[in-house]
Order: sequence, then structure tokens, then C-alpha cells
Amino acid sequence: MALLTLNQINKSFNGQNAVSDLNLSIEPGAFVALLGPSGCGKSTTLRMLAGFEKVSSGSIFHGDRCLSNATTHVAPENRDFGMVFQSYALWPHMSVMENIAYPLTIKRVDRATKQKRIQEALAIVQLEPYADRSPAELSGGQRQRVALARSLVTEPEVILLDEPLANLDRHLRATMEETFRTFHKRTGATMVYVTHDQSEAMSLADQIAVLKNGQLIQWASPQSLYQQPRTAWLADFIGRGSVIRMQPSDELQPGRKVEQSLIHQQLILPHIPSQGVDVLIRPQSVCLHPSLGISAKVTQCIYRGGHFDVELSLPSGQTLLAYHDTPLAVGETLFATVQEGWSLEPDHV
Amino acid sequence: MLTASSDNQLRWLSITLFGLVVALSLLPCLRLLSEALSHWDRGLDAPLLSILQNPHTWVALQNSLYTSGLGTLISVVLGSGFAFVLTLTNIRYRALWIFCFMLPMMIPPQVTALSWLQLFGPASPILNTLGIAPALGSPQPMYSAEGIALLLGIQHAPLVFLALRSQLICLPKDLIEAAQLSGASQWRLWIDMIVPLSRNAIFAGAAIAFVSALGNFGIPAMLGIPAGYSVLPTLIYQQMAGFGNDVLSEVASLSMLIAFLVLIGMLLQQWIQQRSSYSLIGHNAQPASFRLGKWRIPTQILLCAVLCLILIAPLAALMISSVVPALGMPLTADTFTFAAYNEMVNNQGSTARAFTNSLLLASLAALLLMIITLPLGYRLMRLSLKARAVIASLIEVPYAIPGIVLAIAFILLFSRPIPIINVTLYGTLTLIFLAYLSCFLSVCLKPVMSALSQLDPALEEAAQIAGATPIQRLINIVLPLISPAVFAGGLLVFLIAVNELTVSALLWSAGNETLGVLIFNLDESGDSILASAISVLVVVLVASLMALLSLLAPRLPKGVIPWHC
Repeated sequence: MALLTLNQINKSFNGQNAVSDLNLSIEPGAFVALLGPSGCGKSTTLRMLAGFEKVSSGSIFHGDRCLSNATTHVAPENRDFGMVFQSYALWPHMSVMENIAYPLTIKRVDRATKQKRIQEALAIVQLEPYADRSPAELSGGQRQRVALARSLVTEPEVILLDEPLANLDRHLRATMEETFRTFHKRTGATMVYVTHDQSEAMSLADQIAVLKNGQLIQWASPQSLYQQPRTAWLADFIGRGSVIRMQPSDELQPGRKVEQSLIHQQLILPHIPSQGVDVLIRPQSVCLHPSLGISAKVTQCIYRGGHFDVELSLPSGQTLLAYHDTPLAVGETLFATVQEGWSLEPDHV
Repeated sequence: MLTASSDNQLRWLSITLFGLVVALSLLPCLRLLSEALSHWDRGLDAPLLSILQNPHTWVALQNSLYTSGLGTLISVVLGSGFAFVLTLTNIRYRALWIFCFMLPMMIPPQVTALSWLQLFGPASPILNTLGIAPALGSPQPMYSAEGIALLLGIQHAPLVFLALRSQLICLPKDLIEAAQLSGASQWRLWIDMIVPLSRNAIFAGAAIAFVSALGNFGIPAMLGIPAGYSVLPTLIYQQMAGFGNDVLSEVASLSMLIAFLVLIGMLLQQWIQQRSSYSLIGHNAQPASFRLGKWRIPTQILLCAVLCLILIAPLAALMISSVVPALGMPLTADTFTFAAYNEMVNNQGSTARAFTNSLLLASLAALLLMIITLPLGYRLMRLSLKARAVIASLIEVPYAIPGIVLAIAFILLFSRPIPIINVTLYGTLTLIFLAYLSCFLSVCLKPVMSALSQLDPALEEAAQIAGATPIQRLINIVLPLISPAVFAGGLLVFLIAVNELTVSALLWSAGNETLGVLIFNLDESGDSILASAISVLVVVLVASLMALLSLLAPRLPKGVIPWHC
């Protein structure tokens, strides 16, 4: 199994930059998510990996094989990848079995091997009784599983997934996530998964590449992304928390853990500093107490099923988010202590 | 290697198709243009200028504009009337009304003219049967400018109908309901909502009808030539029979004149269409519908009456004419005879030949065009929108220009033997075949392009990922999914080609006549009975093919079958 690398990828459409200076190195067998809001370039990147788009500059390598650069371009039919499309793309004039069999038919695999692989694929997605049905007779989730089975039947090294759960309802999504996890363990293929849903990315991926406006913001594991995001925008995009602006000082540099003492010093200041460093404080780090800590006033208390989201107003006017088990009255004054924070870089894009 | 083979396949496909399009669509037009602008060195004697100086040209131009203008007016009244009633009201049997109204468009002009000729005049069998025939010696009222205009109007009314209907269908119910809630009366609804929406559609439809009327040959040929009334297409036809060095060049110049007028009409229509493109596509709401209530029965009676006048009466006259022994005789139990039909079936002469020729030409053209348009449409879809629009317009030109003009272009191209293989195509069936290919390419391509554009691109991309080359994708994935549209395109080509008169009128020679030419010649030589019998069969054929297409319609993308919504 080979390393999949994207080197200095740039892609522009009609002068507009869709992807700029993207560098990624994907380990064989990893489950990688490309995460970002609409228009961030994640689908474009996936399509360049698949071969449906050419790169404007830079190169894509699979091991030693150059798949795409400014002068050469390997067509999708010759890359030996698998792909699951957002609309499933099941051929309506073929049965489930014929859909799954098609990649093997094209490769002229002998009948015995073909039958074996198809049965294995159907078994993995648990659709054996549906082999002779037509796609029109299947539900959304079942169609998704057929598309999955089709993508693995040639035992590719890399499987690309383009927002595969976007068209399914919430409950079904949870079940399908489990299917993907099992699928990944069973096949050991490298999976590149495009999504705009951060909880999906966090629960499935080993590594996440967050993109915004065509640029890579951060390439890290889900835990790192959650606890140590690089920029203020990312802190806002992933998970929930408060971004507090603090006065700059020698101890307060971007990209570092911020201790409780420094945080408390800053939180009691009466004004928002005009220039400063943004610090992320996750609600899990905030403790509420009737008498100990920094004085804050409750501005909102919303029930989230299991706990309450409490928004507190600090002396400087900035908002601090905390969790609480019992409801609190709006206007009530409380005291908050913050365990730790993470300092953020300013947004460039 | 594998990479090369995929790209190579696509490249060879592109070259072949591009070559075909150039040969079929571009060459004829360029040849015509070059001939029309030839011989400039002769100054005032140049063909183009001598044509413009000839008073015949101006008379014919005037007549063309008069008949087409009047005909367009009639088309607008008929077409919009039917469109309003059939689209905006809850009238019953809507599909049947639409089918019957669209029939005149698909019935060839020469049959329309023939059937109306049987309806009037002292020799009319139906009038004689009913005992109301005018006295012998009174003139045939159809042999006049007004007669031509009336038939042009009826023939092209469905074009206005379609243009207006497609716009009215987009008018969603809730728009009307919102206006009604605001207190608008029925009258204000019409003034404020419906008229503004329809105005541009009517203009666009009128432009198409005018352009079609300008290029129509069959009706003015059957009705105008006997009266000495010439319009531009019939002038060309008659000039071709003339002699002189410059006949071809002069005729080419005349053709350019018509083509020029048609081009202006088309540009006008496109400009109007663009201005009025209300983006209501994808609106899921139900179309607006007024309840007729107590007006339902009277409306249906009115529609029935109009259809009787424009469709049923002429067809009845045609049928009666086909079963009497001779013109002028009334139809009674004694005179009823199938002699004309017998002659058609049993006689080995020109009738059988014409049938064979037309059926052969039409089927071969339909078959070949079906085979060509699938890869052509596939290749065109991969081009940018702009390039696609340009090439689609180019392919449209041979169909849009009057058949007479196209025929002249082909004569010019093939009047001399083809170099190298030294084969003369002039006067052969092959030449008519090539002209049909050029003329009807766009008829077959439109449904195919429509179906291709509605195909989810992911379906083909999934096949690409699975390893399929372009040819494999075309055969395994694309063809099965759009085959109904390809078939419909072929059927439409067959339907139009089998009845075609205008192109073959100039390209035929003894033994190579088509069905259209046969009907025309028979009427000209006075054998209207036989002509009527053949025409009845033609109408039956047209109606059956239209019915077949209507049956196919649910499996086709919207808009492929013009009369099905």
C-alpha cells in the first residue's frame, strides 16, 4: 500500500482560486476527512484525487506513480480507486448485482472470482437478499450500501467518499457511520471522506484536513483539532466554546496552552482590548460556583437535553459559555473559574 | 497504453463527428454563399444584382411578405386562442384537443392544400354530394393569396400554440391565487398577470410562424402556381426550370434573399425569447387553472366547431374525393369505389415507386441519424456551454432555412461529379438522402441532447471510476438510459422525412420521386382522385406515428414530444 501525497496543489476555475497551496500526505490505510464549509474546495480536492479535474499546478502522487501534475494526467478509469458519490450514482437499468459486478466486468475478471467477490461485497454491506432488485426498489440507506459494495469490489487501495451521508436522515446517518467504521477496519483501504459535518468527521476520521476558501487551515487528529485549534475561525467551527480576547504579553503567544492564573487575570479586566490575542475556552473547562472565581452575570440558559448551556457576561462584556446541570435564572450573578485555555492565531483567510 | 487509448478514442470520435458536422451543415451554406456572391467582375450583370433588378423578384417578395404576414395573423389568433383555453382552464379531454390541434402541423403542406382544394370549387366532390356546389365555371376560391394565407395560418398555428403554452404552463397556481386574494377581479387578472406573461411568448411564436410561412413551399406551390401568384420559394422552383448561363447563380441569390429574411426573423425570435425568459423552471406548483363552470359546454362546442372547420371538414373532403370515380361527381352508393386505392396498391408504376422511395429514404435517414446523434450529442455535452451553443446553432441552420434553399445548396455542391471517385450524384436518390441527413440532423439531435443534459453526470463518473473507457461508457451506461429519446428522435425524423416535399421537389428526377412530389405532380396533372387517396394514407400514417410517439411520451424527458404536456 502506498502513500498518497498532494504537493502544492493549486486549482483555479476561470481565474478564481478554488484550491491554493494544498499539501497533504495521507498514510496508507488511514481514514482521512476533508472538512469545511460549502465552497471551501474539499469536493474539488476529492475530484482532483479521483481524476475528474486536472490540477492547475502541483502534483498528486500515489507511491511512485504520478497521477496528476501540470503536464500529465491519469484518467479516472486508470487510477484503480473506488468512489462513493453523494447521489449514490447507481445505474437504474442494472440490478444491484449488475451494479456491483460492473467494475469486475470491465476488468474482465473470470466468472468464478467475480461471483466470489460480489458475494463477499454483498455480505459486508448485508444486502445478500437484494441482489436481484433494481435500485429504484431500494431505500436511501440501502442504495448507499450498494454504492459502498461497488466501491470495494475491485479491492482498491484508495476509496473516495463524497459527502455520502448528506442525503440520509439523521437516524440513518448514525447507523451508516457504524457501517463505514466496520468497512474501514475490514478492508484496510485508505479512505478519503469529504464532509461539511464536523461531528461526522470527528467520529470517523484518524486525521482531519480542515479547508476554508481553498486553503488548508489545519491538518491534525480530531482531538488536536478540538483541543488545540490553530485559528479563531477554526475554534468556532469545531465544537462549542468561547473565544475571549486578551491583552498581549510575553507569556501570551499563539499556539500555547494558557494557564488558569493568566486567564483569571485577564477575565476581570473591564474592557475588551483593542489589540490582543484570542484565547479559546471550552465549556468543559469552566466551573460555576456561587462564591469562588470571577464574577459574571447569566444572560441565557438553554436546555440541551442532559445539561444546560449557560451564557455568562464578563465584566468586559465578552461572553463565556459554560455547562450546568440545573437551570439558572437570567440576570443571576455567579462566579466562574476557568481551568485552562488555548491561544489562537489570527485568521488570515 | 491504457491512458492513451481513452484519450485516443475520444480524439477519433471528435474528429469524425466534427468532420460530419462540417460536411452536413457548414459546406452547403458556404457553397450557397459563394455562388450567390460570385461573378462580381461582371458589375451590374452579376447574378445577385440582376436578380435584385428583376421586377419578378420584387413582386414575389411582396407576395411572400403579404401571405406570410396575413398567415401569421391567423396563426396567432388560432394558436393563442387554443393555448389559453387548453392551458388555463379545466377543460376536459385536454390531451385529445391538443392532439387534434397539433395534427395540422404534422400533416404535410401539400396534403393540407389538396384537402382544402377538395372542399371548394364546382368540382368538389363533397359539395356535390351535399348538393351545394357552386355553378360550373365559378372560380376555385383557394387559388388566391388569401387562400394561401389561410392555409399558412392553419398550418403554423400550432407553432404559436406551443410557444404560448410552454410559457403559460409555467404560470403557477399560487401566483393567480395571490392576486385573487389581493382582490383582483377576473378582468384585472388577465390585464395584469396573464397578458404581460403571454405577450412576449405570442411575439416569439409569431416570429417562428412568420419564418416558417416564408419558407413554406407546398402550399403556395399547389395554390399559387395555377393562379400565377408567385412567392419567393415558388419563384425559385420555376426559375430552375428556366435556361441560361446564370440560372444556378441567380437562383442561389434568390435563396440568399429568403435565407436573409429568415435569419432576421430567427434573430428577432431569439431576442424576444431571451427578454421574456421568466425563470420559473423547476417550479413544482400546479399550473394555474380557471374553472369554466357553466361555460364549459359552450367552450367545448366552440373548440369542436373550430376543429371541424380547420381539420375535420378538409379531411372529410379528402376522403370523399378518394372514393369517387372522378372529380365533380357526387358520392352516392353507386359511385362509391375503391379504384384509386386499388391502383395505388396494384399498379407497379410511379405510385409504388414513390412509396418505396419515401419509405426507404425516411427509414435509412432515421436509422443513420440515430446512430450519428448518440455519439455526437455525447461529445457535444463535454464542450463548454458556449461552444455547444455555437455548434448546435450551426447544426440547426439546414433545418431552419427553407427547404428550397437547402436543395439549391446541394445542387450546387453536387452538380459536378465528385473528384477522385468520379461519381455524379445529381438526380439520384442518394443526393436526396444526403440532403435529408443535413436537414434533419437537428431534429434527431434535439431530443438526444435534451435527454443527455438531464442525465446525472455522476452516473458516468461512477463508470469512469470503475475503469470504463468512453466507448464502453457510451454503450453500457449512456445508451440504455437515453434510448427512448434516441428512438423518439428517429421516429420524428421518419415522420417528417416520409412526407417531405420541398427538398425533393428540386432534387428529384424520373424514377426518384418521393411521396410528396408524387402528390404534387398528380394534382398538377389533374389526377386529384389518386392524389387524394395517397393523401388519405399519408394522414393515417402521420396520425398513427403521432399516436405512437404520444404513447412513448411518459418515458421521455419533457419537451421531446412537442404536443405532450
